[in-house]
Amino acid sequence: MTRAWVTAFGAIALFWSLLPAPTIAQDTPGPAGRGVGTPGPGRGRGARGPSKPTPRWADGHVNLGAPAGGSGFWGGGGSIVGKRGSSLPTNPEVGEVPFQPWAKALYEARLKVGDKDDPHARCLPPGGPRQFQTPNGFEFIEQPERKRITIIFGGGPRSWRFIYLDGRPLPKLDDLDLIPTYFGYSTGRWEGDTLVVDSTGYNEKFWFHRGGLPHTDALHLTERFSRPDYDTLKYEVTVDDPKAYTKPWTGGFTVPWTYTNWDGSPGGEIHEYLCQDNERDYSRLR
Amino acid sequence: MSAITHVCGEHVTSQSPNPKTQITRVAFAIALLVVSGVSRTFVAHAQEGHPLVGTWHGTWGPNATDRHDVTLVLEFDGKAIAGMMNPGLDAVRFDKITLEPSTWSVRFEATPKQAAGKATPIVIDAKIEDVTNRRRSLVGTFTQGTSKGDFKASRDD
Repeated sequence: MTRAWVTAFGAIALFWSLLPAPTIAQDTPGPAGRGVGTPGPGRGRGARGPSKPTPRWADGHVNLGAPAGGSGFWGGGGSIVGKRGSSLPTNPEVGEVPFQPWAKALYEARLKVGDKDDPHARCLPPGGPRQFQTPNGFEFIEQPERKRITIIFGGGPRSWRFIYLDGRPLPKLDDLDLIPTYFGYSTGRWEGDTLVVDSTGYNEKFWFHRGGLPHTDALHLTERFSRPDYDTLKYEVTVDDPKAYTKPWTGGFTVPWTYTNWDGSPGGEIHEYLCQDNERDYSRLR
Repeated sequence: MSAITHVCGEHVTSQSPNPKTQITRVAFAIALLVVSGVSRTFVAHAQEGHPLVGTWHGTWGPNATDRHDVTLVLEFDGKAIAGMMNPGLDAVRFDKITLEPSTWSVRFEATPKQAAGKATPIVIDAKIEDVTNRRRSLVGTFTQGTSKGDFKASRDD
């Protein structure tokens, strides 16, 4: 081997090592705290009457969106820990969550400092249950011809997520081609009237639950979506992350159907809201 | 055998190195590739997961002017924290890393071999500061044999 070969070999190695890895954060501080995605006044659907029955598609399976001629979207959900508000009565309390010691201490530290270090406050996408806890709502778009469901989110950086129903397998976590993402890789199937979704391949650049429940790249979520009546989405998720929790655990909440725009005006559409990463001028504005 | 090459307009005469030198260079290049690949794998890890995981850069030294650069590359498999210091040809793999989450105290222990073959243990005792921040810090002391100094490193973003 000539000197030129060795030099070239070394240069390539050095270049490779200096390249930014695909999962390195690109975020910089932006507007922090509760100002990001704060709901407008008067959202919701007005006075509640008895709910209509669960809408269904022509083939009989549950429609998780607005039926033909209808409008509306899903509002923000509760917590998968504790039993307050719209949280499920079967949820564990914080003390019952099977944290690893480091994860428990980190969660407590995050609760103590509040939202100041929450990546979502810097407009990073909200993976996991956090998707359904953000203001501005979300919507399911079924594409049977493509055998997938898209969930679009009006909050945060206005993002979306695919759930594949074509029977493909989940990627293996040790697959070298797997690039971890905020929303992971999701495959789903209908079990009766419940959409069951398995997801893996998450990065570690976000908090998967409001308040900062920790997770690692080993996170595997099994989500169960059902619509017991027109106005209610029931969301239940099993968290399996052996690096952060000593065993899998389950929690969930219900989400209300929203007939109006987010500000309470007529329409029932997710409004245009943009939270942009790398926004640097907000703190200097007077 | 020799060759004349043009490098930036200059004539450079090179001679083929002897086989022993060639083997050394190839080994060096392979080592560089392996180390860069390993460090790249580590760098791609956590931001908001286990608070120690990832790459940390900092210095240690006995005073403000006598400083030594330190890079830590750490990982967590769900049970134990492992990693190395100063990845590269002089990398030192830690024998043991212990974290006490109630105080965020960390102890790193290594036993690198010196050129003469004598081992000089390294102990870093530090505390994670601002643990919820993605640019958190490790602050403490660094001891290697009879040398001791303060230590500070920050988590790469």
